[in-house]
Amino acid sequence: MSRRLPPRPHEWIDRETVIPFRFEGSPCEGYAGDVVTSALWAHDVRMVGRSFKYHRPRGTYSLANHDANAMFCTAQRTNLRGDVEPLRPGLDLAAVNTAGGLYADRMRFTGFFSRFLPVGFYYKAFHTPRRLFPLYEKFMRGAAGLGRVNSKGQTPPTPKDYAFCDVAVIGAGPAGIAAALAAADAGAEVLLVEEHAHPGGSLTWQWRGDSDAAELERDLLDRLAKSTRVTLRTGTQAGGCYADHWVALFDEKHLTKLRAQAMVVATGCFEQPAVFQNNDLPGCMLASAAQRLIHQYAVRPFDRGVVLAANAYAYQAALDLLDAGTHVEAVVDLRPQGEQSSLATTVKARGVTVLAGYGIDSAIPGPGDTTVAAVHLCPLDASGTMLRKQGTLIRCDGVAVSVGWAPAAGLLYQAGSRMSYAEHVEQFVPASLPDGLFAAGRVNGIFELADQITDGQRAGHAAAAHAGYPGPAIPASPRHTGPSPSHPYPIFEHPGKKNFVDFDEDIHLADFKHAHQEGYDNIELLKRYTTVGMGPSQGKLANMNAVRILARLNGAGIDATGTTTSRPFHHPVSLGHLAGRRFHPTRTTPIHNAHQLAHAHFMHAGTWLRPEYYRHDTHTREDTILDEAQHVRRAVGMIDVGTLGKIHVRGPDSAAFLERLYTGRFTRQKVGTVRYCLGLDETGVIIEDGVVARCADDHYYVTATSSGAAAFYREMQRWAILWQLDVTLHNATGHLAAMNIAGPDSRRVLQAVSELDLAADAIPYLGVQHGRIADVEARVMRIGFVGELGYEVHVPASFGLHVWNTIMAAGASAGIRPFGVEAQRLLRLEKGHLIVSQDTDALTTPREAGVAWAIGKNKPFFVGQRALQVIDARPQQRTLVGIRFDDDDAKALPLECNLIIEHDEIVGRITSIAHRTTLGVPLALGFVHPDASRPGTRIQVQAESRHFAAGTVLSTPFYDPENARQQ
Amino acid sequence: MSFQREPISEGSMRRSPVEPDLTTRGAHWSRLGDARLATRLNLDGTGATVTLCDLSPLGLVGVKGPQSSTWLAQRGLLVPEAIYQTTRLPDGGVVGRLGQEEFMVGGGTNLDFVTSIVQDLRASADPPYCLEREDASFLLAGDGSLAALAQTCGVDFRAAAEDQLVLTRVAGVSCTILPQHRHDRASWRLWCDPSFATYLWDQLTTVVEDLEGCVVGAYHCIDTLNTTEPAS
Repeated sequence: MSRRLPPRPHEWIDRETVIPFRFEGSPCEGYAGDVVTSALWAHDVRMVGRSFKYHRPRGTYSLANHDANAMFCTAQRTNLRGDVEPLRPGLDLAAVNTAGGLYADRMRFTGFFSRFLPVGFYYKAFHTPRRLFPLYEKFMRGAAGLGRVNSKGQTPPTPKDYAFCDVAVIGAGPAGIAAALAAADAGAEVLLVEEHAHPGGSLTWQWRGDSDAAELERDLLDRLAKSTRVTLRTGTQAGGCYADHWVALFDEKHLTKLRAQAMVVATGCFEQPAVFQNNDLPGCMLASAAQRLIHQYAVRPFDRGVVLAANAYAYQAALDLLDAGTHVEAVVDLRPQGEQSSLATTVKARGVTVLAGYGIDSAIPGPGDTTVAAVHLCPLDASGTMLRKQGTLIRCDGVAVSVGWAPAAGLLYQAGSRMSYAEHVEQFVPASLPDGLFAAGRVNGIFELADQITDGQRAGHAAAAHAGYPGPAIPASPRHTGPSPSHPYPIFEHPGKKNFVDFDEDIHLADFKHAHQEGYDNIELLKRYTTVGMGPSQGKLANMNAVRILARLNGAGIDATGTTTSRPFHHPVSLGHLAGRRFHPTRTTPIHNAHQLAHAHFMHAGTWLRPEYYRHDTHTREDTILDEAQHVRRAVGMIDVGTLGKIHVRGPDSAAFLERLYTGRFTRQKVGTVRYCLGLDETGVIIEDGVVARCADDHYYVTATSSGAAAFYREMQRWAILWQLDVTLHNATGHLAAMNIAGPDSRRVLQAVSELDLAADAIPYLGVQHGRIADVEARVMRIGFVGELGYEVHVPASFGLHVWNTIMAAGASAGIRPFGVEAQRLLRLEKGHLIVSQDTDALTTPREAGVAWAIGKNKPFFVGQRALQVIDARPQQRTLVGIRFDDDDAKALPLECNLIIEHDEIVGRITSIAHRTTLGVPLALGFVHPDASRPGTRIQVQAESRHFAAGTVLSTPFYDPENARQQ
Repeated sequence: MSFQREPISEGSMRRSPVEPDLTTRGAHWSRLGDARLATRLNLDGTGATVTLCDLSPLGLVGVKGPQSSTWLAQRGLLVPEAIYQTTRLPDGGVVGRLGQEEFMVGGGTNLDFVTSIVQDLRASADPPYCLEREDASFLLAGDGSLAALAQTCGVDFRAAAEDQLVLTRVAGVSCTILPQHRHDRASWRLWCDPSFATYLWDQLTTVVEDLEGCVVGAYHCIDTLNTTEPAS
């Protein structure tokens, strides 16, 4: 750690904790509190990455989360930003953008061909011949890109949470802290968000040499620590700002969705680069980066440095460098008159040469281009042009650039603020802010430290008042006085090019000129053509200079030129954070545990988890399903039907309500009976079916399909309100367990645990009774979806498992077995019963589905009736029929949704099919043209294998057409 | 017809939908009325910033239909005036108003009280009607309970009034939440459809354990729990 300085007050590192790590295979050490690049710089590792396009050596530049060329990969993680990534033990880092390692990068010679790679070259070069495009694409994809993703790596899902506060303050610099304290003093609950590890903002690097600032920092942090109303979150970025002060906060572990009543944006500014030749060499960096190295990480940036200045802050940086032991060779001030404050006097007094009206024409690389070795300085004429013949060379190993600032206004833009260019500070400042949003500090164009405090207090009071905590009268925002902190055009041409505007994408000044010559004279077009601002730092160091260049090329003002759109996220966010912990609600029945113990293989049916079948060690899935079905046919089985919708309809208008809701008749339905019910929408399309049991004169119990029950219940509520009928509805779906016991032995088994008389005359087919089953009060319905003698038992959910287990135990001697959804589907198919939404679609009417018999005669009204009258007056287009296939070869048989073809025309499709049935032949339901619906008609279905499967239309039910078995 | 809440045999005691998970956590089962309740688990919650407890066996009943509020008042219950407002029952349960004439009643330790409501409602053919409510019910408690809710629900509970029901979604599941703070300890009672119970319990236990909390038995949460000897 040869560049590490002796301990400094306020440094962020913990010298007691040494952290070993590896970089490009070499062992290194740093301290806890270091970021990766500060630790590398302390080791005098200057080249930490290579550029995106030309693979030029690059070092650290901003140390403020904008260093797109100081990114690293580990075995597990991709594109770690070295300027903000905390150093951790065991990190094994490799630079991105290299082929063969950082030092032996095989693509490091790309820059020699730069004249053949102008802006937009790929748009122009790689479109013809088209047949070669895959080759181009493969090459380009291989050459481009940043780190490689470890697609096999897995990280646990991170939690996401919600947070709420009265006032959110983004940025814990002087203005932000002042705003937070002011809002808290007014009584507001404040959340103060800081993206860096410590609060203080520019106080932690820019103002360290100022004793008044140090006192101010102590005071602010002390009050912050004592405040009970301010919650500080460090290491947290406000990534995006959305409507109603909804802010996405990201820290290392998770995403927080923050909703604030009011919001103060005190995000400060990004220091901006100057554009001169080789301004990207390692060793060239922002003055703020050099100050961060010194004050936060105790690292001496250079041994011999040059400061490029256009404001007073550069002179403070020069003093900081001197204090850190750097020999400052010169302060090169772009301004003709130089710096007029006492800082300039102090700098000169310490023996530093100050050259006013000078600029850096070029940085001269050292061996291997891995560091700056000298700078070529030139005086500037009145127009700001370099007078190269009068230049001079100064040897140095570093350049600190402080020529101006751009507001960190991304959140303001996203929130809907309008920004305008203020020439007195040469930056964009808010012109109008949305209701409840306030800006403070440098983002507001306020640079003097005392003014920042005043502005922060103003914004804090205003935000608190907006949130309902009025305080003192709110003064106007202070206005910056004195020289502008930013240079209007710190950009210099050079015949040798390599004067970079965008370090992320390797775009130099000439690229902008060429793009402009080609007609890209709008900032949004220019952005897309040159890709300026489209790299990992999203133009934080490039966009402002790009706007200045375009404005000059257009001969227009900055305001007229405008800016590009700022979109979330402020800094990159890992996809893992966005995905986070996901919630996918799943419903289970009260009998779920019994299914697990019985080795059920579960399937998702809507939100429900249901047993598809019960695994058998020696059977295939198909064998198992057929076996379960056969067992129901010959003995007894039981299926959990707790997923069915279960809805109570009560009240004096219950019958009238159901008559309107369903197609059938219910007014004269006898108490103790069950009827099929069919529900349509207003276009006459089938949307629901089930059964209606009449429990009392004014009480009906309705079942609905498992996946459609919730939506249909909402429809029921809607109609009940619209019709203003005296009915009371209750969706008891989840509150009741239900099971269907079916098969020739079902009566005997159920009778063993029932106090009810289950004889055919006591509870006939389509009857309903109430009584105790397994000691629990139950509702028992005689219905036969699977075509066998069967009983459906409904009990309270908390007794469901007990009742299931009791029946299973009682049926053990009869060989009772559970059967799953697939066996039930097979059995009902054999019986010709349709499943709504499987055998029907979004257009199916009762007549097409063959259930027109369920429409009551001479009804005055039911939902969908008027549409049906229109539809049924037209020729029918399709009919649902039964189909038996000739061949039972599974490979040749079609699947559901395969098409029925006749004379090369599509005439229908399969809706349900069972390749193996208890009847020994493949059976299906499908839609065909009415002309082909007559039993005996031959049809052809194109299977997945592209073979045609021949079948014959049959009448349904296929099984027990006399319904003898379920009576 | 009416469902009886009283079982004939012990085998048909009402069981929590999350009983299998509680069993893996070393549940000590006790009988409360006709319900089987996990009163103690492996962990007792000492030092935990947030605890989660299953109170599903403390049953509810729904009262809905014309004259519901009158009917409840005639039984001497303090009827909440506003929708989503609640009044407390002596056993820790509540009367919660869910609509103009819809209420949830119960959730306390006196299961006989709920049973009596059910029986009385079903004895009459006239409204109001008895609604089966087999809701799962969990109690989140402790200083970290707000953080647990913040990870699963988008409602700002800082301002939630103690007698006010909040109908919202927790981990994607529709829930009714009631602040029931005890001894200055933040406590939140959740009710949800029992078919979502296993899923929601899994999500909440994950979040609670992430926050270094734990799952506890009912003794940890209820001051006046009156149970008999272990059920099995």
